[in-house]
Amino acid sequence: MKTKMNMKHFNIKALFSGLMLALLITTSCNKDIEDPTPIPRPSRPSLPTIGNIITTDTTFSYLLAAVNRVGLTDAVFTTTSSLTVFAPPNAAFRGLLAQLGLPTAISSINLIPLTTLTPLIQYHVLGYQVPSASISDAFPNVLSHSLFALPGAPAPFVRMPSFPSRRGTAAWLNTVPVSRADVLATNGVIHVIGGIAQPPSQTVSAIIAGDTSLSFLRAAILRADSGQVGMNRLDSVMNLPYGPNLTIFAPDNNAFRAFLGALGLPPSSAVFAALPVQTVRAIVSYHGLGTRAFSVNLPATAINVPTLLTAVVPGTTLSVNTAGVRGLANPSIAAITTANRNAINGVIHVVNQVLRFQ
Amino acid sequence: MKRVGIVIATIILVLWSGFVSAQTSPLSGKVKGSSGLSLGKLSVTVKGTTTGTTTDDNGNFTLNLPSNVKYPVTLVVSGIGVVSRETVIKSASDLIDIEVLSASNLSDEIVVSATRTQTRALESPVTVERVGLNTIRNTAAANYYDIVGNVKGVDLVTSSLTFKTVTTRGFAGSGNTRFNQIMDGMDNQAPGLNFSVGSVIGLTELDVESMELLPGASSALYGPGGMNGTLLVNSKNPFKYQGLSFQAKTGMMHTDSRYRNTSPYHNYSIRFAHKVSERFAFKISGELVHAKDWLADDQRNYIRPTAANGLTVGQFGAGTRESDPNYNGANLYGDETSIPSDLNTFVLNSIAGSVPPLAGFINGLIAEGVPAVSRTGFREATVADPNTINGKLSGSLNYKLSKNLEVILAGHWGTGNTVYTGSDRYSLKDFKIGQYKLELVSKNWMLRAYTTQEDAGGSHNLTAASRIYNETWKPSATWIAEYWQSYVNSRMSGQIGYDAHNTARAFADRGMPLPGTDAHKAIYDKIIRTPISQGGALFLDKSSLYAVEGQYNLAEYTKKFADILVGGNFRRFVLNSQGTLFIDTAGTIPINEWGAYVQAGRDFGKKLRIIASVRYDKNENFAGRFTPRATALFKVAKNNNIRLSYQTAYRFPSTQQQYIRLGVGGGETLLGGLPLFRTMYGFNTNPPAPLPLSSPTNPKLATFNEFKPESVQSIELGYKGLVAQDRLLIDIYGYLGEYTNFIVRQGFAQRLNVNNPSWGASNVRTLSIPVNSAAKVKTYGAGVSLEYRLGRGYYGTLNASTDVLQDVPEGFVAFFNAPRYRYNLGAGNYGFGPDKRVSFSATLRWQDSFMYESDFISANVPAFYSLDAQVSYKFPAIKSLVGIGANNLLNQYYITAPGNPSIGGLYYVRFAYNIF
Repeated sequence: MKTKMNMKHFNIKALFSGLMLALLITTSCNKDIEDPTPIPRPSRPSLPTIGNIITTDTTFSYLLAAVNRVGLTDAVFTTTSSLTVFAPPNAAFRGLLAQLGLPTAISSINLIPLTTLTPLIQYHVLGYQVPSASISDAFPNVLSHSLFALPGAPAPFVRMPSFPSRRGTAAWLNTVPVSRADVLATNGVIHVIGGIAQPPSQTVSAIIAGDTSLSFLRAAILRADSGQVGMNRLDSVMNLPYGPNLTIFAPDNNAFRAFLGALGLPPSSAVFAALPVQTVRAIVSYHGLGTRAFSVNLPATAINVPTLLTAVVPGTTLSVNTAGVRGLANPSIAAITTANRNAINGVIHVVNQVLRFQ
Repeated sequence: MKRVGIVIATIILVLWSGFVSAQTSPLSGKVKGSSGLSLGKLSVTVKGTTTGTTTDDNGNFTLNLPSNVKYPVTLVVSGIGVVSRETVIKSASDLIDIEVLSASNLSDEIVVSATRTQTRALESPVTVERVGLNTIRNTAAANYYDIVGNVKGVDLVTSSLTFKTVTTRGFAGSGNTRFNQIMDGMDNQAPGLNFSVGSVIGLTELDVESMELLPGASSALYGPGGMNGTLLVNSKNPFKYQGLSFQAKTGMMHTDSRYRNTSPYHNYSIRFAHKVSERFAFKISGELVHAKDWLADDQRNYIRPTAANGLTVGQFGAGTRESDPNYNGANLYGDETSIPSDLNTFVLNSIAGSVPPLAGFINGLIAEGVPAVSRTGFREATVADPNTINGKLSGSLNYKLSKNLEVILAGHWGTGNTVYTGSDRYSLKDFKIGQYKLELVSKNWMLRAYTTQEDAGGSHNLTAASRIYNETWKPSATWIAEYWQSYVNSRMSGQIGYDAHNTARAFADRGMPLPGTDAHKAIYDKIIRTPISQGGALFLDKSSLYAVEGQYNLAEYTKKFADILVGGNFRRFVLNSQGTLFIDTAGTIPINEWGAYVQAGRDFGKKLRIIASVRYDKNENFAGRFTPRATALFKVAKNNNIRLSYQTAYRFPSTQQQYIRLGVGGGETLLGGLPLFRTMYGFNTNPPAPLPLSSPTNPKLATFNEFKPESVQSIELGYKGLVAQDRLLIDIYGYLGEYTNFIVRQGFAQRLNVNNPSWGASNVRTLSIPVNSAAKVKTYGAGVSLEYRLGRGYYGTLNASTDVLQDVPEGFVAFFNAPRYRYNLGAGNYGFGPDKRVSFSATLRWQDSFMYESDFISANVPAFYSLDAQVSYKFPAIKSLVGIGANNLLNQYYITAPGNPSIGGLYYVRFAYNIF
């Protein structure tokens, strides 16, 4: 404003308009109500996605083809997912194709029926991140939840369990060794494995029932369940697809014959009917663990592990190590003759002795 | 109602029988003014009486005075466009030529409210603001009530288009109970819902003669409640203002379709008054407002104070529905239902229990920390009726029993749909309120009986209705179980927490009938029609107020000593909500209160006038209390006065603060402060602890003192004067106020099971109880207004004010709610151009940002400005006027309180006939 302004000519209207204008300019805009601020997503490492990695690394071409075929493309490529992929290289898939009687060319992935391929691929993926450091190296191992929904389960979130494990620097998915762990991606982690881990399709009960070399064990289980109903029946537990997670050391028929013979009884499965139910139940229970241990998880140095009987008869543990398993009253270690018959709800190791706690 | 009727009938009979018919003698005269001044329709009355008439188009008038009239008499000429003027007539033979000045000259306006007697505004001993007819006619306002917001020191809280709350000197809030609103002598606070219904049912626009605002403590004359001011709205007497008039304002809102689609605004009012004889006159008026309301759509995440988070008041925090499982949007309703963390852990553990293989995985999720989870809320636009309707109907029968005695039977009835912000947002649907009075007015005395009848209609709490809706379509127990099952599944399917929560919500919400569907409507409508007491959201409030008051001006007998005025009143509230608002499940609750006052005024020489008054009030639930007032007016020069006043005010707790029992949004229960609640809730055996808890495990327990009325003392110094050849009117005030026993709501946690030592969320309920603050709250402030007449009808106004809260103890929530600074800048002309046919006005209003604290939302209100403007053109031949106007011309959205709607531009055209 001019300082020499003659006040006589000072125009008050002009002053008002000027003041009004000045105020309008200084207060030109009202502040809007702020938008709500999102809580930021947890920051992720800036790495390629799992999808990028298995695309770039051509040793996973078959896996990529299989992933695309079963509809997991988005899951492995999106940056917001969080996965653990046990990645079999191309060689493992060629082996699988050969096993299925298909040509080993990559195009054969499309020949595998989806009903086979989908569970298989889903079984190799966990919907959360398990870097090797988080994989338990204690006995036996921790149940993990694959993407493969357990058929017939009462809720969608009951998954086919899989069992990553680690002993020192060695790691496995079930029994398939990890050849390269911790390939980190922005949306998860890849562990390269040496082969294909087949998802189980049967229960422990069904495997035992279907194996004629285990007919004595089957007979013993049925005798043990005599007079029991519902989940008090050991067979019912062994046949329940979700919930139980067992390791069964299954003496073969010869082992039972030797056991009966040592007791002065005839070597026939019919004998069980003559034995007291409680005795048979205790013997059968002593052969099961409430956790799942594959042969690769057995320690070099023997350790005592609780059995299904331990809850009833305290102290009734088994000694296990890589050489096999030994009952409290067994004079020698029972050797595992057939290991790792994986079931939905447990694993069966066939052994050559009946395990005895007294 | 029946008893009041009998009382009224008796009064009429007694007066009628004593009435002797009187002879009249006509007194004629002429009102003159400078050329261009319209001299028709001016009111000419005998001061202090209701005897009056209006001028014809040439300014001629004839008054019928009783033949026994004692001279001298004082005539008052007033009306649109002129300055009220008093002239003393010494005898009937006096030549009556009254020269009036255009209102565009600064005036000797008359106010009544300051001393309860007619006083020149310039000589008011306390600050008083008057909004007269000229201002009402020449201001851009969708509703006349908005104009009060342009007055200095006034804060207007807008809960919706038709629901506005006025306050001065801080402590603003929707439904402010510290500010009296008196309409034609009747307190228009809704007896049950406690808010002043001024803008909902008050007078129709064409029936308003003036509004007078007394900022600050004013109990001494107007009774308990006027802690922060009193607004008096006066209607037009049918003897003085006659004929048919109507006005239509029709326009547009939401023109940018930001919150709603562009929609029309309608405001029609009509008034008819007729003087049947010199004795009898009547009037009837109506007004209808219809529009799509402003929308409150603040979607920020509001974190309420809880036992767990240790907050004293709520605050906005980060979080959206997509990024925060416990999101609680400010204007989203239903998401207040929050399932606490410990309950969610319990749900997760039970999933693990029923599916053992998941135990390890779920334990891992629990170890990450389990958040509280809120139900899904609904935006206000989807659950609140967008139609705001306001219908008013009022009328009066005025009968002159004698020259100086008029009996008035008046009724005001209003209904409408609107949205009100209390402790939640409330949809006031088909809300009805009626006020009916019988009044006897004499020259020296007045006797008035009135009643307020409230009917909440279909009013309901939007938050409660939405929460109940959620529980109805899917109970929270089922919902949360599904939520966590889905969450666990999602976490096992490659989703991280962020997305897993959203998947879980989508799963738990699947199949929810969305607002706008018939399925939603079927459920929701049932909820809002079911009373709260039966599990719905409907209020059944039919509370009422009965009041009788009288006043006698003894000045005639005592003027040698002092001008003495005495008065008294009795009020009876009858709370009737059938347990939906108050604790009146067993029957209505009556509350009686009464008060009396005396005022004495005396001149000491020609320079000093002192007025002292004292008032006593007693409420049956509280001890009685005196409120004194003393004022001094120093006449330092002609039209230049300094005023000094000491005022006190106090307020009985509102009916809700006494007797409410209402569950609200955050899950807390609002209780009244009376001792009966302490007994009912077993505080002696299960004492609550104040929030925030002093310790999460062993908090300090609450002790309750007597619940007392609150009071304020204030000292005010002011100056009002005309300077610069009477062109500039200056008004300045400064005040100091101190509040004692200030009533605030305090949150408490009470254990559900006293034998369980846990103070965790699942073992406590939250109670909100009004208590007296031990802290003395001090405020001070000042204001200045300048009104300048430029000549040729132009005028400019500027006012600025400040209100400050001081010495607030740490952590004390005062609900002060006033911007530190605000100003209004205006300019206009009452008539210019050819035949002075054009008039215009523009007002720029600005206020500073400030922290707003309330039971609903406490947050910062950003600074805002708003520009209102209007232009009108008169057609004198057909007594009509057309104009265009706008509120918030630049469509700059603003809020007046957090959680309240964003107010945008409203543009209208106006046609008015015979508005005077």
